[in-house]
Amino acid sequence: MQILRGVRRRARRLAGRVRRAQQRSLQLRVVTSTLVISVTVVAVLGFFLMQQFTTTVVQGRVAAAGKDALADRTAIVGQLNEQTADPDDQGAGGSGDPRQSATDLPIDRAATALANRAGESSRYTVIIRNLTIPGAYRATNEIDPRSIPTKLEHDLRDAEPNEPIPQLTSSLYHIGDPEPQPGLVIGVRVDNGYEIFHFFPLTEEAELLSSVRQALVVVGIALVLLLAAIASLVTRQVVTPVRLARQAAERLAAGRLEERLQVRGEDDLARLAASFNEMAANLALKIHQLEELSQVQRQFVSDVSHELRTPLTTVRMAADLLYEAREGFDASAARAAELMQAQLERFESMLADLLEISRYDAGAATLDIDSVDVRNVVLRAVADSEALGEKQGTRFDLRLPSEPCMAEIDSRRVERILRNLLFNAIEHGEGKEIVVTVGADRDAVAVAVRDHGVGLRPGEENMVFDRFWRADPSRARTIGGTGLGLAISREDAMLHGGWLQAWGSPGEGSQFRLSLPRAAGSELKGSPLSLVPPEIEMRRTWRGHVTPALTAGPGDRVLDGGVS
Amino acid sequence: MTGGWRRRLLAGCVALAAVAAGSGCATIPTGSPAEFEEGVQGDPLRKPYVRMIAIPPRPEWGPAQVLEGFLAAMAAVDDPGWSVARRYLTGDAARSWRPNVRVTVYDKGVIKPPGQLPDNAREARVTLQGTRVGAINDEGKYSAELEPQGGLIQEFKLVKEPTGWRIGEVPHGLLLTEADIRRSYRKVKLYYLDSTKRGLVVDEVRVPLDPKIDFAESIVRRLLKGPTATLREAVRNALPAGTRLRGVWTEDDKVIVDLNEAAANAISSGGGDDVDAMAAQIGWTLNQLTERWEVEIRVNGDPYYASSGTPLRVGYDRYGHFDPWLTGGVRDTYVMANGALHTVGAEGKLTPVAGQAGQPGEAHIDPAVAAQGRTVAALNADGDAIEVAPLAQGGQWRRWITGENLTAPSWDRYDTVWTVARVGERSSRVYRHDGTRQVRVAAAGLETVGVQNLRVARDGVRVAAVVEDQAGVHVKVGIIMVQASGTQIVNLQTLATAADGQKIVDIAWRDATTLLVLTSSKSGQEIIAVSVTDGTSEPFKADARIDSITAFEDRIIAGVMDPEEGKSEVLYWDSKGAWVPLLKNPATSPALPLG
Repeated sequence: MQILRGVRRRARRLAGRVRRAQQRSLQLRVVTSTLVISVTVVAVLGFFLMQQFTTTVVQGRVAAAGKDALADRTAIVGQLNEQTADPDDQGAGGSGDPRQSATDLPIDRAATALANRAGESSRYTVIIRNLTIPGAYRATNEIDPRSIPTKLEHDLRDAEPNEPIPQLTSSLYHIGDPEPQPGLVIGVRVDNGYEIFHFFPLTEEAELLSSVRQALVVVGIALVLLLAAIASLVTRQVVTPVRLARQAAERLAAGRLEERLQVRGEDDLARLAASFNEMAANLALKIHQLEELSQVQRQFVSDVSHELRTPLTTVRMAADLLYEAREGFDASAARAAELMQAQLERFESMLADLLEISRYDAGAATLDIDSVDVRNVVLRAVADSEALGEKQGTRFDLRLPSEPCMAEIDSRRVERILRNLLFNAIEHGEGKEIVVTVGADRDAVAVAVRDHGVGLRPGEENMVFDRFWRADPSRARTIGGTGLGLAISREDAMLHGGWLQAWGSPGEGSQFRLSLPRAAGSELKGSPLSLVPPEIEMRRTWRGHVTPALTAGPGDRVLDGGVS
Repeated sequence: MTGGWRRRLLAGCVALAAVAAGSGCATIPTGSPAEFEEGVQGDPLRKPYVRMIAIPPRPEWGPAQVLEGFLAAMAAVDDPGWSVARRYLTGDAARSWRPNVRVTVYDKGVIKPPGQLPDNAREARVTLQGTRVGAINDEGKYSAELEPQGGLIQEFKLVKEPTGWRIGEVPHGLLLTEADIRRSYRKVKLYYLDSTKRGLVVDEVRVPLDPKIDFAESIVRRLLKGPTATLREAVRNALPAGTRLRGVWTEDDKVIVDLNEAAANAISSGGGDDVDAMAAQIGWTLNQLTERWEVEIRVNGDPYYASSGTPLRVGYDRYGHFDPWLTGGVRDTYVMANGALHTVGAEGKLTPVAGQAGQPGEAHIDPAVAAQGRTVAALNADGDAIEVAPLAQGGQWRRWITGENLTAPSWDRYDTVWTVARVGERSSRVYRHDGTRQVRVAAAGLETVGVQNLRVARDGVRVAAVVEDQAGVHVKVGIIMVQASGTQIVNLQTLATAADGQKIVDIAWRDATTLLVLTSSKSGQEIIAVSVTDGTSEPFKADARIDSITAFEDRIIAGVMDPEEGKSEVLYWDSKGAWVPLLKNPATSPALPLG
């Protein structure tokens, strides 16, 4: 049972492997279908050919045998009739009875004549019999009376006299040979009650047919193999260039834009290669153009930011002067000076952010790595944000592990990330409690910042990291974020080889999780904290609902993929 | 498009090839020379034959038909236990019947039915009448009845049983008609060796056809069993005891005889002569079926490698000439003319032989020529000495055997002269002379009768004699037994008896097993060829004046003495079956070597 199951399992595995191989290889598929079709065709053709041949051979033999049997019958009847001339005399005495002469009995003479006609090679054997007369039963050579088919005996009893009945049989028995042979039996009942059976062995015909069948099988197998080989060869001619094209496309996709195909001849495949090459060339050109364009844009932003700084410094100095002297102004002018001061500050920080982000775009950002305790970084960031939090009436809930969480990070950037997250949480937290959790495992550390504000709508988890994105464009920025904070944070996280992800649900608030590898440069495989806050997860499990948790799952995976 | 053009060309080529191949397969090629080689010339071991098949009795058959059915069932060879024949017998009779002991052969069989039986008859007596013509004993030897007479052969008591009439009493053995014997038995010559193992002696038996095995196999098996009782003491067998036959078949115009290892032992210990003798025995025995095929002897299925390293194959040129006296051939004919011995040349031309025998002189009668044709023996005119002369220049008559009233001399194949001295009317002494001395031969059956003639056969074993005793004149055949203690003639058996008023004039060996007997009676001369092995005989037309005969195979020569004209003549039996003069000149006493 176990073995059977093992065999079945192995067979299934093999079938699966074959199916997979077939799906992968066009050539194999073509060869397989050619094999199947040609086997069918050859089998059907061979069957009909064999049948035709058998019919021809056997019919020829039957016709020849029938002629022999008919010729013999005439001879025998003549000889047997001598005996039936006076049937009353049988055994009754009288010297005139031929049975009592010194010469052979008529039946013996007839049988001997037949045996001699059949010849030494024993083309056929004969049985002459009359079961109603004692001793009137002769056979020639080794033929066994068992060879008379019972059906033929019955048929003869009912048939007209002198009407030969042929029957093909597979059992001619010969004395001294236990194996029956195939043969033909022709039986005839002649007028005086005698039955004559001719036995024609068809051994030679059977051998001929068997050798023909062997030849057919060999030729058929050879033909099928040949067809398969031809199909394989032909397919290879088509498949090889296609395979080359695929490999070239793969390399092209991997960024090697200089990849081209060799063009040989003028056929369809050559034209395919030419088109491919043309496409690759166009693609490379477009990509190059786009890259240049993007480079120009980035340069422009960087240049603009730099150029704006000098006038801004001047404006700032003038504004500071005005601001400090505001008490001497009238109320509206003072208000204007204050406003200008505030907006200038914001402008400055925006300009700083723009410069920072343009550094990222230019690939100029570098890490200043140091092994630090993440808890301290978190505490510093929280401390920086406390003032703003108090202003909004927001309370922080820190959930830090008791052991140090050491990681190789650029603490300035990580602090900036956390500060951005906390500012973001305060801005959207609607004054409710903000939970900051730190988790660590062997490979990674993570910080989650949870607010209980309006939350995020489905699909916004990624958009929050876009530059200048805002959930509700009508809403004003209360704290005065630049709109670039989260984008920079994400760039920072990626620079560390970490992830910055968001979760949010309308009415439930949102959570941002920063996951970083403990060792710089190592790949991040998972996060010690879950993206969805544990209480939400638990609630969903209790309800038996699955939807949002799992929609977060794929989102999670997409983000993972995007980062890794 | 070049591609399309190429494709069309290729398709055309393929179609052409297909058509060519198809037409080649579909018809018989004509025009080219057909080759064949001479293959196997059929299988001579398989000759067509007819078998009787036994059928069980039918309930409606009367007593006569049941007996007829039983007689037929006895002749069925493919029923070795005669199980069907036994179904014609009552239970007791079937159990006690032993069919194998002998075969009684009858002819002209008539079944006498019991006449009108009452409906409630429980018993019936049916007789088989006819002529007993011979019998076959358990070793297959046929012996013909010397004087077949018609009459009752057997009376059968039949009993009515619920299933029909059954035979209640039956003698042991089989009762077969001559037709049954012709159908189911074959006369087979078995070849054994004489005492020197240099000549072949023919034994003859009837072997039943066995459809289970080839007839050739039956024959060789019978050969291995050894000679029949009459010859057993006089012949040797190169096939040692324990030799068994594993099979006989044909392969590429060769007959393969596969023997067991006992044969190999004998060959390796016996040396080359025995191999030749063995091959000659098998070859000659099988030659009756195959006619001059090569015989290969194998041992346990493997080719037997004699000392020469080649498989033991014996062609007809080797076994066929093992014994020159079996193959016939041209031999000189000798006649006496003008008191001198002459050879008969082409067109009846007479040439005197060399030496004294070829010169007219002292009268010698009844010459006999030795095997090599170099010596002649003759009776002197007084009949008291046998004189021998070499047929060479200067050869002189020398007296070899002396005795009272000697019979004509007879040579055997070992250059020994035989004769009989008739010391009294019913008392004879057999003498032989081997070139060194005259020896008396013990011959129990010949010493108390009057011997008229004694001829040693060419095989050197058989001897035929015309003897006269109280019962009349008989032809008797015995064998010469050579032993260390001496040579003697034993196993004398009567072959023929002269009828009243019939005289046996002369006898002559025609071949190893046939003796020609010349008789004369008032109705005329008669020659019969009697088979010494089974006693069957075949008459020849005889010329009324023949007084002596000699024969060798197909050549039968007779000396004629016309008493009225006093003229003597020599005749021969031509192929058309008539006596034709051999010579123009008068001559007497024709003689062929030996016999």
